[in-house]
Amino acid sequence: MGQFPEDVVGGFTAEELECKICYCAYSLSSRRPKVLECCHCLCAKCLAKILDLGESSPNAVVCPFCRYITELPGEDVDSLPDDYNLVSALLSIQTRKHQNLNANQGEILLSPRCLNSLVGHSASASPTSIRSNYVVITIMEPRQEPVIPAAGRNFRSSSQDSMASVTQRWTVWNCAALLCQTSARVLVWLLGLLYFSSLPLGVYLLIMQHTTMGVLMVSLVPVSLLIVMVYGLCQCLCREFWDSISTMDNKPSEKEDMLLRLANSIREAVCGLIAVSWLASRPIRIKQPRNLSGCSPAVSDSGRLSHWTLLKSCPAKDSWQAVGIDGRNRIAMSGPSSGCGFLMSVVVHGDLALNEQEKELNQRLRRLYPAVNEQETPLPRSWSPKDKFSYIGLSQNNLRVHYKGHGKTPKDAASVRATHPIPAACGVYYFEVKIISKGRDGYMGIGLSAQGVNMNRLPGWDKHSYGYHGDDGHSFCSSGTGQPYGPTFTTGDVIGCCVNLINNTCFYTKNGHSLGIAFTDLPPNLYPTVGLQTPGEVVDANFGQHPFVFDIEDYMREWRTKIQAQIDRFPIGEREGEWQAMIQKMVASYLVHHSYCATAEAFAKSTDQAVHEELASIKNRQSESLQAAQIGSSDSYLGPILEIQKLVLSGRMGEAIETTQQLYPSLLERNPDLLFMLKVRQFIEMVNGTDSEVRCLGGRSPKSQDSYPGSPRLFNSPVHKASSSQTYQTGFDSNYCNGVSSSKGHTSAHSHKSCPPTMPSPELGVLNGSRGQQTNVGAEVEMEVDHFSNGVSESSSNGFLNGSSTHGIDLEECDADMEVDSAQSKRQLCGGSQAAIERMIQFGRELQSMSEHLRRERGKNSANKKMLKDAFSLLAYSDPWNSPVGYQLDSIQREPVCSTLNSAILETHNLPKQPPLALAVGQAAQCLSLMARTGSGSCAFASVDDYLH
Amino acid sequence: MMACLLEAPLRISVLSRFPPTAGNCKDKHTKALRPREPGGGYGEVTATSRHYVDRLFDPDPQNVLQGVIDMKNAVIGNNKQKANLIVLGAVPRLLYLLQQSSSSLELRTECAVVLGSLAMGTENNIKSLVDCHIIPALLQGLLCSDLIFIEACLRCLRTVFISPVTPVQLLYTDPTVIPHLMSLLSRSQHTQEYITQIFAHCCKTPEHQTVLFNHGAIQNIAPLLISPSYKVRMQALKCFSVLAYENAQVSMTLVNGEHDPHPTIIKMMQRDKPIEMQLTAAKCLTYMCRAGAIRTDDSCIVLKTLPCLVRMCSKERLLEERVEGAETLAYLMEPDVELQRIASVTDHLVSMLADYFKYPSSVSAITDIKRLDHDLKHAHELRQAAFKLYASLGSNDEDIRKKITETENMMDRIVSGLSESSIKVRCLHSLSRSVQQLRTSFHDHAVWKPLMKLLQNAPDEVLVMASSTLCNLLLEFSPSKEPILESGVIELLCSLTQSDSPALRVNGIWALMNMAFQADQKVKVEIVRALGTEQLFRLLSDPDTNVLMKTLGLLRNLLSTRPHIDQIMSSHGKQIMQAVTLILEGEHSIEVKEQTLCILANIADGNTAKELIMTNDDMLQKIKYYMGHSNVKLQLAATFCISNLIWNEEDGSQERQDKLREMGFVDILHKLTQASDPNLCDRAKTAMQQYLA
Repeated sequence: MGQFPEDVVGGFTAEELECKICYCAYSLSSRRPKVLECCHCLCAKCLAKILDLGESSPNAVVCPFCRYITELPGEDVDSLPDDYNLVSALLSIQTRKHQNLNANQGEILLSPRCLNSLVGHSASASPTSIRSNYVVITIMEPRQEPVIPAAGRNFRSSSQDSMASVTQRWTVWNCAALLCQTSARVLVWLLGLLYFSSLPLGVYLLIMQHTTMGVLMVSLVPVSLLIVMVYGLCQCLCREFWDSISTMDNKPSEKEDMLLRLANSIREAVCGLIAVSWLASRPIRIKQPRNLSGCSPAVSDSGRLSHWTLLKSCPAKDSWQAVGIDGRNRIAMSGPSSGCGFLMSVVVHGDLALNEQEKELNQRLRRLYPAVNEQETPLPRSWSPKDKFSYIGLSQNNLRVHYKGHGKTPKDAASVRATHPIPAACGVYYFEVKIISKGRDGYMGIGLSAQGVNMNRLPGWDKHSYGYHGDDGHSFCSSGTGQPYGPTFTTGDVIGCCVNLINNTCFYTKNGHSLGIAFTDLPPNLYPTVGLQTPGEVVDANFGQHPFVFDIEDYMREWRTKIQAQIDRFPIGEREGEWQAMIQKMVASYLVHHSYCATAEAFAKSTDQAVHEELASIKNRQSESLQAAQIGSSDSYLGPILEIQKLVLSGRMGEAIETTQQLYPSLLERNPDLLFMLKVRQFIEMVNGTDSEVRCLGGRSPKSQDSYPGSPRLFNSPVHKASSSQTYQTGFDSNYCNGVSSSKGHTSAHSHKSCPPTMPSPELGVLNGSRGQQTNVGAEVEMEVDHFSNGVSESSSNGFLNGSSTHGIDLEECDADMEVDSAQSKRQLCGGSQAAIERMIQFGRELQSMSEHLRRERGKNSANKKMLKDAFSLLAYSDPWNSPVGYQLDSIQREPVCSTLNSAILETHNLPKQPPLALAVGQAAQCLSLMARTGSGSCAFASVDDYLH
Repeated sequence: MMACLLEAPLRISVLSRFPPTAGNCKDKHTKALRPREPGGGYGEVTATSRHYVDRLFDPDPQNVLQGVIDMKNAVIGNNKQKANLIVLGAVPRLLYLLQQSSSSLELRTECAVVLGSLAMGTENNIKSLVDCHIIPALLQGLLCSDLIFIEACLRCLRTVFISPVTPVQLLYTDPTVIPHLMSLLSRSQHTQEYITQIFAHCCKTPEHQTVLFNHGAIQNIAPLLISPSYKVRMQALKCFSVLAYENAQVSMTLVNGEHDPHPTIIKMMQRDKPIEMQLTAAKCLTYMCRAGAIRTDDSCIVLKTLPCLVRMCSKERLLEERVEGAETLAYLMEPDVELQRIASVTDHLVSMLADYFKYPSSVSAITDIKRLDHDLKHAHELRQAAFKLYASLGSNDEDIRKKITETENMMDRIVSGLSESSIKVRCLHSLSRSVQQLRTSFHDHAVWKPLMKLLQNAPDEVLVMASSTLCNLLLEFSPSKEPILESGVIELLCSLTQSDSPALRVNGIWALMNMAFQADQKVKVEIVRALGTEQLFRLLSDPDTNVLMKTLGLLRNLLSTRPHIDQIMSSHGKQIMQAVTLILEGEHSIEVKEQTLCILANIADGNTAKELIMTNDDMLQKIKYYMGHSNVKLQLAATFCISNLIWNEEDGSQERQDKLREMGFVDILHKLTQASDPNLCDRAKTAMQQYLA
C-alpha cells in the first residue's frame, strides 16, 4: 500500500514541479521557483531571461501567462518571493531521496479534527465538484469593506480583486453550507473561549485555594504551547535520526540539508502554533475553492485534513501569504497584516488514495469472505503494531514491514503478526506479501503463527508456527529444520499464502503461481505472520488493499462448487420416503401458517399421499375450527385471518384493524405495541393513498370501500347480492392467497383491494370503464354500510371510523376525481385529495398522542419511536415515493406487518408462532454461525440464502 | 447430389465377418432388463431376427412401419441382435426405405433411428454400415426439411463418424456437405451437438481444418460456446481445439476475429467448471498458443492455462485426465524456457509426476480386479505421459534437470527398459544436455549401457534420439566416455554415418567429432581407420550442410596436436588436401569455408604437414584469396593459416617466409594490420612480427 507514485510529492505532480517555460524541474539553486504577483510561478532562470529581454521597464517583469506586470522589489529576480509550497516540496523530495520510509509523515503538522466534519458537510452540499485530490479551504476574516490598497502597489489590488469576486460569489452558497459555517464558528469560539479563559479561571481557582485545579488551568496554555514545540522538535529530530540510520554512507552535503530541514521543521511548528491560536481567536469562513480558482476543485466527503501548508510570512510586507493548490492551478493570496484581516488557506490533501484503498479493501473483503461476521471475528487488515518484535518497524498504515535490528545471528530474527486471526468463516483465506527489498541476505519467512508464539523467531521455527523462507525456499512446519518446498524468493517477488480452513491446509503462491500444499492439519486461529532477519529487508503486505496476483477467487469457486456438491449429494439413504414426507409436511404447514389456503390445497393435492398425513397432523395439533379451515372452506376459522391479511396486504389498514378488533377483541388490547404498529402502517398507507379512509376521500366512494364484507356475518347477510358474494370468494381464493394481484373489475371493492398501490392509474381506468356498474354497487351497498359502521362503532375504540363513514361525498364527485387521477397518472399524496390529506394529518396527531400514551404506560420503546419517526418523515418530501424513506410505501413492507399480525393471532389460538419451515431455516443459519465459531471452514460456502429463492 | 447407389444386399461379404464377438454394450441396464432371447443356439437367434427383417419387405407400408418400430425396440442395447440384423441384410433395406421419397416421414425417421442404434454396436457393425454406403444416404437425408428426421440422421452420422473405423474423408468427398451442415447448425440444440461432434472427430488434417475454416466454422460455432446446453458447449470447444491444432490461420481468427471466442474459452477454465471442460479449454488455448496466436508470456497462458494443466496432472484427477493433461502441458511448454521454469515450481509438478509410476498400485491389486484392469490399461500411458512431460520440462533449464534427476528412482526408471519406449529416450536426451548430470547421475547409473544396447537395433526414430544422447555422453568431460569407447562404439557410429537418414548421419559424425576432441592418438587412429577415408570424403560431399560441418569438425579435431597432425597427414595427407581443395573451390557457405580454412591452419601447424601446403601453390593462392576476402572470419582463418606457416621457431621457417614473401603475402599482411577488426589486426601483426624477428 501507500506506494505513492514517485512523481507525486507532497501533493505535487511532477508536472507541477517543473517550470512551465523551460519545462525543467525546479531546484533549490539556479531554478528556484519564483512567484509573481499574478500568482504564476516561474523558475528564476527563466525570469532572468525574461528580464533580459526587457519588454517593459527594467525593474518589472511581464508575466508570460497573463501579461500582468510585476514590479521587482529589488535589483534582480532573486528578490522576488519564492513559491514557498514548491520550495518545501523540493525540500521534501530531497529528504525523501534518503528516506524511503514514512513518506509524508513529516508534513502532517496538525490535523484539526473539528474541520473534518466541516469538509464533509460542504462536500455534500455540492457533490458535483468532486474531481481532483485536493480541497482548498480558505479561512478568512470577513470584511465589511475591502481595504483600499495604497496607490501604486498594483500587485496588491489584484489580489483584492480576486477576493472581492470571491465575496460576491458567496451568495451562491446554500443554507446547508451556512449552517455548517455557523456551527463551526460556534465550536471554534467555544474552544477558544475555553482555552483562553483557562488562565483567569486558574488564577481564580488558585485564589479560591483549589490548588490542583488552579495549577492545571493556569498551566494549560503554556503546556499546550510547549507540547506543540516539543512535537515539532521531536519530529525533526526523529527525521534526522532516521536519515542517519538509513543512509550511513551518504553525501557530505547532508549537514547543510539537515540544518535546512531543522530550520524548516521548526518554522513549520511555529507556524502551526500560530495557526492554532489564530484559529481559536478568529471567526472563520469556509469556502470552496471553485470560486477562488475558477477551476473545479475537489472536495471529497471522505477527504480529510491531513496537510496544512501555512505560507511563510513575507517579512518585507509583513503580511500572510497563502496558497491553495487544486491540482493544476495555484492561487496565491496575500493580505496586509496590520490587524485588518488575515488570509489563509489550508491545503487539504483529501487523502483520497488512502480512502479509495480502504473502500476497495472493504469491498474486496466483503466479496471474498461474505460469510464472515466482522463484528464477531474481524479480518486481518494490517500488521499489528503491538504484536511484534522490537526489531520490526512498521509504516504505510502498518502494511510495510522493515527490519531494524543488527541481523547478525538467527537470534536477531523478528516477526510481526497481523491484527487479527484468520476467521474460520473465510473458508479460504489469502494474503500476499511483496518483497520490496531482500536486504542483506534475504532471510525472510512468510507464514502463519498462533497467538503467543515467540516473535523473536522467523515463522515456522516454533510450535504452532508455519513459514516459507526466501533464502532456501524451504517450508518450516513448527520445526527448526525445513523441508524442500519451493523456489527461493527475492526482491520483486510476490508471495501469497492461502489458508484453506476447510481441510486445514496451506499453500503458497509465487508471482501468481501456486506452489502446492505446504502444510496440512493446521490448528485454528492462526495469524498471518512475516519474519525478517537481516538489515534492509522490507516487505509489503496486501490483505486485500490491492487486487491479488494469484486468482484466489477462482480457487474459492472450486471449493464453493465442492461444498455445494457435497450438500447437494448429502446421502439420504434408506429413509428417503420419510424425508420427502417430512419436507412436504413442512411446506404444507408453512402454507397453512401464512394462510395461503388455496396454495396449500393445491400443494396437498399435487403431493397426493401427503394430503391425509397433512390433514391428520393438523388435526392432531390444531383446534377444531382450524381443521375446517384447512380443508378450504373459508367460512369458519381461516376465513377471518385471511381476510384481515388480505386487507393488510392490500393496504387497507383501517379496515384490517377494525376487523381484527371485531374478531379477536382482546388481541389488540393486550398487544398495544402491535396495535401501534398497525396504526403506523395505516398512516403510511394513508400517505400512499391506499388506506380505505383516505381512499374514499381521495378517489372513491366511502360506501364502496366499506362495502367490502368485513365479517362472515355480513357475508351471509341476505342483503348481499349473490354475485357480489361470489366474486368475493373466488377473488379471495385465487388472488389473495398468492399475494399477487389481478384486477377483476367486477366491483370497485374488488379491483381496489387487488391492485397494488404503485399502479393506480390502470385500476382507475377500469373503474371508470365500469362506472355504471360501480354506481350500481354503490347504491346497493348503501344499506350495508349503515349496518356495518354501526357495528364498528359499538365495538371499536377508535372514533375516527365513524367519522369516515359520515363523509358524504357523492359518487359523481368521486368519479370526477378519478378521472383527474387517471389523466394525471401520477402518484399524489393521499391520492391527491385535500380532504384526505387533512384526515391524514389528523390521524397523524392521533398517532402521536397514542405514541405518547404508550410511552407513559409502558416505558420507552425505541422501535416504536423509530417507526413513527420514519413514517412521519414521509411528509417531509414532496414526492415521498422517491424519497429516502420511500421504501415504506412499497407494498412489500406490508408483509412483515401482516406476518406479525398473523403470528399474534395464531398465538392466541395456541398455535406455533412460527411455521416449522421458518424454524428450520433459522436453525440452519444458526448452525452456520456456530460452525464459523467452532472453526469449520465449510460454512463459508454454504449460505442458507443460496437455497432460499 | 449425394446420390447413393443402392446395391444388392451385401449378405455374403458381411457374413464372412460374423459372428461378432460380444462387444461392449452401450446401455447395459437395458440389456439386463430384457429377457434373454429364446433359445441358445446361434441359428435360432438368427431365425427370430429374420422375422424382423422379413417384415421390412411387407407390401403394406403400415406393417413396415410397425416392423421398423419393433426392430428398434428389439435392437436397443443388444449387440447380438444388431449383428444378426446386419448379417441378415436389414441395412440395405433400411437404407432403401430411408431414401424412398414414397415412404412416409415417420418411417424414414424410424429407419434412421434403427440405423443409429445399429451403429452404436461394435466396430464391426460400423464397418458393415459404412460398407453399405450409409453415409451418403444419411447425408442425402439431411436435405429433408423435417427437423426430427434430420436429427435422427445426424445422430446416426455422428455415431458412425466418431468411430475410428470410419474413413474421415467420406465427409469431405462432396463439397456441398460442409456448407449444408453449417446451415443446419442453427436448427436445434441437437443438430448443434451432433454436427460439432462430427466436425471435432473428422478434422484430422490441415486440409480438413482449412475446409471447415473456409466454410465459416468459427463464425458458426463461436456462438455455441455460450449455448445453454453443456453438451453443445463441450462439443463446440472440442471442435475449436481440433481446428486450432497447429493451424495459425484458425488460431489467429479465434483470438483476433470479430467473434472472438477466446475470452469465453478462457472462462471455461474456471475451476468450478467440470474437469472435462477445463481440460479441453486448456487444450484449445495450448494449441492456439503453439500455433502462434497467443504469446507464451500472455497472462492467460502463464496464469490460467498452465496452472490449469498442472492441476489436471494432480492425483485427484482420473487417470485419463492426468494423461491428457500431462501430454498437453508437455506440448505447451516445449518451446518456452520460462513456461518450463514456472511449471517446474507449480504445485510440486515434478514430484507429482513421480506418482505416475505408481500405477497399478499394489494396494488395490487383489481386492479390486476392475480397478486393476483399469490401472493396468492406463499405467503405460501414464508413464509415457510422465516421460514426455519430464523431457519437455528438462529440455532447457539446468535446475529443472537437477530437480528431475533428484526425484527418487527417476534415473533408474528411465534407464530400465529404455528400449521399450522412445519417449524415455527423449527424456534421457533432454536430461543429457546437463553438464552436471552427465558427470554425476548419468555416470552413476551407467546410462551408456542400455543406450549402447539400444543403438544396436532400434527403429530409426529412437535411434536418432539415442544417438543424439550418445553424442552428449561422448563429450570430453563426460566420465562415461571411456567405457563407451571400450565397448566399441566407433564401429557403431561409423555405421551410423552410412545411414540413409541425414539426422542419423549427423548424429553419428557428431558423436565421432565429440569423441575425437582432445582424444588420444590411439582413438584418433582408430576413428580414421574405422571410418575410412573413402567414407570421410563421401561425408564431405554430403548434401546436408550439417553433416558437412560436423565432418569438418571431426577433421579439425583429428588434426589437433602436432604429432597427431603429422601422423595423420603422413598417411592421409593427399586425400585430405584434395578434399580441402574441393570444398574451397565448391559453392559452400561461409561457415563451411571457415571450418575448412581452420583445418588448413591446423595442418599448417604440423611439422611435416606444413610441406603439404607449401608445396601446393594452388593452395597458397587460395589462402591468399581468402586473406583478401570480404568476410572477416575467413580472413582471420586464412591469416591464422599463414601465421602458422611462417612461425619462426620451427625448422625451415626462413625458406617458407621467403617463399611466401615472394608470393606477396607480406603486402597482404601489411594491409591487414590496418584492418578495422581488432582480432584480425592483431593476428596480422603477430604474423608480421615473425618476419621481423
